Amino acid sequence: MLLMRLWNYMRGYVIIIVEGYFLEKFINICTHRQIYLWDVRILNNCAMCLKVSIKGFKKVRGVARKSKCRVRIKRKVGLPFILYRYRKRKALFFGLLIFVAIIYTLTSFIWTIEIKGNKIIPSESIIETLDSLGLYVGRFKHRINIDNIVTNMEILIDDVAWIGIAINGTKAEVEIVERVRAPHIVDKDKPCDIIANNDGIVTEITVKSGAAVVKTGDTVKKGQLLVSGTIPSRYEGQEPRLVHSVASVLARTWYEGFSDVQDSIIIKSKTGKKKHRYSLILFGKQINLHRNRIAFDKYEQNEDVKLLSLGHNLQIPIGLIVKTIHEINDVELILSQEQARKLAADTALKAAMDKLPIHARVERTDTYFVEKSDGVITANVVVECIEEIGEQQQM
Amino acid sequence: MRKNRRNFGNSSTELKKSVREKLSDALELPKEITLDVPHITMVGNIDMVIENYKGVFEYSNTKIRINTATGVIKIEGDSMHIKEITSEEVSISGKLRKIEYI
Repeated sequence: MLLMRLWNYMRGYVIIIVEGYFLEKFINICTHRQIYLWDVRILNNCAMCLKVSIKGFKKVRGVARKSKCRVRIKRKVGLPFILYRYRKRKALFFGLLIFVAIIYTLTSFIWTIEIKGNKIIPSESIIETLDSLGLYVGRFKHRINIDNIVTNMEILIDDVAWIGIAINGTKAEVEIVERVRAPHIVDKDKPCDIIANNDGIVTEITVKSGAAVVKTGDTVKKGQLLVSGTIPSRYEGQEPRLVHSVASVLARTWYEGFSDVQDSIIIKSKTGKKKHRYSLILFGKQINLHRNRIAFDKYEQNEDVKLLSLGHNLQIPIGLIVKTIHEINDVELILSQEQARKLAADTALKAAMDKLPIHARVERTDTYFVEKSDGVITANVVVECIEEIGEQQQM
Repeated sequence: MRKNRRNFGNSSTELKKSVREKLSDALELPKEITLDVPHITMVGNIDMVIENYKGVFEYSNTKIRINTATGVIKIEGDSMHIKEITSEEVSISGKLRKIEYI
């Protein structure tokens, strides 16, 4: 019913008091003449109070005469009466008009560009390309030719497989699907060799075609020929045969990681004291509201950007940055020899594991502690694994 | 003669009604339209809507009489008032106590 009340308020209505002895007759004639009445309340046996729309009120006079009732207005309610009261205040209407116009113009520009789905291509380069094609912050949105931008983006940026641009309110959402590059494979009918892509000791070699150059147990270096696609002829004086080599070469490889053993570590802990800093964002410019320096010796801060937006999509380029500054206390933690070594070993292992290719299978890990000339002990982790090292190379 | 006429009248209206009723039953039409009877909806004892009414006979805080095709409906209660009234329906609100066909 709230909607109905709001609608009535917009249309405007009159609260009237009807006095007379034939109140029922008044109601009946009103309904007959299609006058909508609501909130009819009896005040005493010869008076009632009711609400009627402005349009209905004009007809009520005639009804009152017919039913021998007296009608007087108690109150006028609604927007039309307010507008009537303010009809001479031209500046008010002018301001209202300007307000609508400003809102309309401000919302017909692009205020934010959001890029989604890119992993390899940096967002900056995408924004740069979009800029050159005419999609940038501050651009009049009705003048953007999306089809044209999409086509040109796919031509200009090589790694883009598909691009979708959707303009929602003042936000341009750019969705990108990157092209997945096919692995480097030599054509089946072209002759090729197989070379090593890593150092290691060959543990297993299975040749489907081609001539094996190395055997199990051989140490190979990166780039070394493993399987040759050139097969010498059995007969004297004939050209050697060229084949497309196919082979699986497994090798034992090693990856190392280092980390110094430290007697103590520094742990940053928040003391609990914190301060808030506010800065305004107006059309992309940042205005600091604080001038004085931060009183903490050591601190950590995180930013929270709050942009005004109407609904989900209409972003207004006005906002607030709240920086929360936490005071930090450095606590030095003295480690026992055992703890220190374990920590260093873990760090070294992580460093070694990061170097591992995805398809490598870990066989064993060894940890050594080496004392350097300056007295610092270093943890050295060697990860031994088995991996495929063969890679086809065109002749 | 008088008695006869009354009998005749009664049987004729009964017949007429039954034909209409049968028709509306067969076609599954809403009865308040085909039979021209009021459609009364109540929400607890606080709200009441009467559709297809003819007119308001009496209106006060404690007693409302409404004319319909099937007769006068008398509603008694406390602090009653008409929430809305149009030519099709009347909506009564308040503390309703008694509804009676007279």
